[in-house]
Amino acid sequence: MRYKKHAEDWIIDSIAYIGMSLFAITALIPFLNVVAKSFSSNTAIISGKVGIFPKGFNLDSLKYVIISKEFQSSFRISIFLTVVATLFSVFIVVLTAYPLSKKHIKGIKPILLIFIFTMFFGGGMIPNYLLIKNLGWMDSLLPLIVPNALNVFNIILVKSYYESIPESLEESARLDGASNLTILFRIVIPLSKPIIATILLFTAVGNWNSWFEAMLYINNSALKPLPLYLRDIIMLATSIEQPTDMDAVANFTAEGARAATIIVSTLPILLVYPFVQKYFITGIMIGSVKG
Amino acid sequence: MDLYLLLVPGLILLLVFKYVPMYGIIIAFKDFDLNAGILGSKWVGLYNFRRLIESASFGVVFKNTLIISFYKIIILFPIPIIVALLMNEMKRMHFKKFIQTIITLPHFLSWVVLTGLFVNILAFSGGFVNEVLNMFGLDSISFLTNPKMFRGVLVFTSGWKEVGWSAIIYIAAIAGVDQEQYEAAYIDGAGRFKQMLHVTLPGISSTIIVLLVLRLGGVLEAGTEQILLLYSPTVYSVGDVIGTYVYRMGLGEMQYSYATAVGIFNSVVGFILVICGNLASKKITGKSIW
Amino acid sequence: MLKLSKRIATIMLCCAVSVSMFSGCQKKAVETSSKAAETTKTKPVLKELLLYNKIDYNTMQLAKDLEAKSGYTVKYDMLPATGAVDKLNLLMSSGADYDIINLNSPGDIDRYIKSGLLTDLTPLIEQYGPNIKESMTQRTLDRTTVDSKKYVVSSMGVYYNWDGPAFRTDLVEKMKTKIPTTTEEFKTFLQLVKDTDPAGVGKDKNLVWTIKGPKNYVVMGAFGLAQQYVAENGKVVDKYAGQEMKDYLAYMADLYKNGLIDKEFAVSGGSSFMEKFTQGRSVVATLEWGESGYKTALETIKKTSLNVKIDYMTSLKGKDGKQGITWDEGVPEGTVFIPKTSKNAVEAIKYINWTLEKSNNLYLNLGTEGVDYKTVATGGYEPIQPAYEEDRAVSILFNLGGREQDVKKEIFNARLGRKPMQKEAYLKINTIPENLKVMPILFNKAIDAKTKNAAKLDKMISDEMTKVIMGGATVASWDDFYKTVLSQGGDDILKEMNVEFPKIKK
Repeated sequence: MRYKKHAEDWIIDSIAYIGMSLFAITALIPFLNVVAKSFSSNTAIISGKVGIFPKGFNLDSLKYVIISKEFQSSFRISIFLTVVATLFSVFIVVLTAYPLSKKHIKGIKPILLIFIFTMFFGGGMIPNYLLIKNLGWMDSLLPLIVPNALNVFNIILVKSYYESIPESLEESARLDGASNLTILFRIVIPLSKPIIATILLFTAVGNWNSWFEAMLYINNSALKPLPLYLRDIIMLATSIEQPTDMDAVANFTAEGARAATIIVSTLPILLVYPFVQKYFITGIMIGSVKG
Repeated sequence: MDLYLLLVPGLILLLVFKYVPMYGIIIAFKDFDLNAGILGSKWVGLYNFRRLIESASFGVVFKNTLIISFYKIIILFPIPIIVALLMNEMKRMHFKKFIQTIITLPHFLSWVVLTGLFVNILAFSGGFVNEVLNMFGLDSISFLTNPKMFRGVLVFTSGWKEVGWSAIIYIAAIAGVDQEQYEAAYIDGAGRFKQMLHVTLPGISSTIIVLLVLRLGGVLEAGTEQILLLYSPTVYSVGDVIGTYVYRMGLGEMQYSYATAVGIFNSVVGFILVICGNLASKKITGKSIW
Repeated sequence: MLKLSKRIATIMLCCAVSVSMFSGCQKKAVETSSKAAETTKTKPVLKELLLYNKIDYNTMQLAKDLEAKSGYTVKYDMLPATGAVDKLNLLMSSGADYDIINLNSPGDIDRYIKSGLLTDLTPLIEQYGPNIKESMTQRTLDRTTVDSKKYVVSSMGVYYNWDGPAFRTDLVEKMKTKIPTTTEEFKTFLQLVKDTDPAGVGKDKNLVWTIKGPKNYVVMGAFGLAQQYVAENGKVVDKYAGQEMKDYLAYMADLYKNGLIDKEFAVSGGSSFMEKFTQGRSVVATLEWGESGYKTALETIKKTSLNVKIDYMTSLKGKDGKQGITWDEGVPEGTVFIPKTSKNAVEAIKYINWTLEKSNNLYLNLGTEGVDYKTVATGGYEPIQPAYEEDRAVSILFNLGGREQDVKKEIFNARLGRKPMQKEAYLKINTIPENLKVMPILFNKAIDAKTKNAAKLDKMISDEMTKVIMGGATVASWDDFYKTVLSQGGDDILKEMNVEFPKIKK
């Protein structure tokens, strides 16, 4: 497309590449530091000697986190939970955003306001707890999947995206006799891949990291998701006179444990990330492609 | 029309899980007792709200909240957009993907971890930043205990943590701009910068507006978790916000009513701002959320 | 196209079904096992709620031992580590049917009592709990009785101070001096550290004395501030409001101004605190006797300085010979109560009573003689490692109250012996001559105003103290500041204390 390299190109390229690289370096270093801490000995961590590389290579912090039955079960639960909750939520959001994007249709605006109102006002912990209890959903994964599926913020984002799709495309499909559902799934959604990928990512990360609902509604430790497990063991590590199985593993500190939990919870996200990334990072073309 | 039918699942979820529990708001108007429950507790009207607004330091705290929030919005709102624009200019796909992943990493580090890091880097004696300053012959700055520097630290660290992640939505929005438009602009003689200005920015303008208006809704939440970890008594005068103040005043007490009242106060202000913001953007740009 | 939506719908349906099956499975499993237990035992299964632990209590050896010996099956549940208070409140207000709830600290008990959520234990203890009654001293009984009713089983643990000012004795010796004994000497000592930099870290990294907060009980003792509320001329007064506090603040502010205290002590970040000390950037620091304090510091510093030694300053004399170490009669340990919604209150009390019988209590805490512990000829007990660790390390979590009248102290001392370095540090900090221990006023009951306001007021006071020490406020402004403390609850506390003070039996 662009064959000549003007001065402007050089300037923009250098700002972009150099600027972003610098930013990336500053973003990477603390993360590497955390990774390093999770592999370092506790004396090195405590005396602040860990930089980007581990010092006194030691797997005890990681062992504290990983070697436990609860870790394995909570990891599996989280994977299951994240997949189901994310798919469900994205489905609801993508579906609901469509009629809400048709501003001119009768009644849509007030309904939209009803949705938006809930972004600011809610009943709080206690009524939600009672509702879940009355539904008989205590100690199950349902309260972690269903109530939060309706994410109004995401709906607004997706709806705004839908509104930018040219009316003409939908018009012509309608003239061909297509139903709303068809238009949604055959035209609108394929054109909305970037935003859908984005909310998929946001929702997935949110679900992967959520612990509060699990803390409230789940007593059975077999159903505990990963972040709850990780939070709890960090609390334990930082509290003082608690006899734990750590007495057997000598070399460990709260900070090292914390670093290990971050690695454990972030790694899966980073592994999945590239798959989602390709959808929002490449452009799309409405219409034909030109050489 | 079957359009309404598509709304049904969402509406059911909305009504059951958001509106049914909404009666809980009245906790703010009651003196909540565990045994009596929400409905059985004594009614106290605006007592909890007055407790907040009439408390000694509320004026200072409210001011700080607004100032810090606005600093964060004015400085930190545009940056992810610029980052997204710059990323768009990077044509080497692999490098771009790599960088894009890296800059989201700080988002995954908790404030607890980051505070430890920043406290070390910004330390008055022995901190990296001050050592560099000293090398250039400048005096050390006490970033965390000096009221003049503290707000800046809050804004900067918050930005560093979230900019990469916040940029994702703009990158996605840019990806939705029809590539043909760039073609047309190029043919019209526009260079890359002009294309950025006349194609990309307008193309993502509705996203920008939506996010900006919604951002206003959170204006009274100035970063409680971050501030709780970074602040100390000598910077209360500039850094104490509603969230941190309520936390300290509520220590040792279980105050669901009070906490809910504060939450409602924040929400009402935020909601009003969003409504105003939406109206303003309708008038100015013709685009709005509703 | 409809195929696509149909496909999605089927996926959703499958997910929903599998989720409900999944959760249903769990429920069924629990139900069948508890039903089985109920039909084979004559005693009901007791449900106990405890604080968080990484290992499931039900799988612990001690749980099994107790079940075998007592004949009671107890099913243990845990509160989460974060948000435990919220969760407990929700459980209490929604009528969870635990039989025993076992917490460490008193927490929000008063609120539960006032809301009528707890079972009145008085008649139950009278009938089924002789050991319970016997195990609590009159003072503990008094302090846990509300309106002549007992709601809580608790006990007083041994009092100790958790930390103290620790000195790098190796560096002290290097400077050819000793640990200071008066406030004057302390200042000179700190100045010497600043001037000579014994650890060789360089002028700007030398922090001299790293403190964790504005209150340092040993130094405060030298200003007559070992206790906040003191009886003078028949009345209770608040020492923090007076000249002594101003003298203390002036002393500390002076040290701070001269660079003898870490300039950024107020910024949280406990890890960097340890970093500073272990890097040699401070010669004096506040170290706990627990593993994460003394032991960790020693081991870390040993990596760079082999002959490191740490000792504590256990008292300091002030200008007019004032001296004192904050002390107390004990630390309230264990808060055991029974919610009103429990179905087995009688059996629960019987079980608690069983654990408080002397030999059972020893069994719970120390295990089997000869295997887990041995009796020392001169008195007391000693753990036999590693058996004790395996079998009984977790015993403090299972205690339902304790026998104040005899073995509680011995159990505490025995457990100290589990970790020699911990014991070493503990003794260094807490070996204080009796005449230096300053006790608080021992009221007959808990002071309500204090329970309500203490946390908030303490934070206000600490914060202001920090400000003054750092130079952000003047010592002279303390009086004005304290007026706000008094108006926000301080006066209420004093008033109530003065009502209760004459009632104390002399």
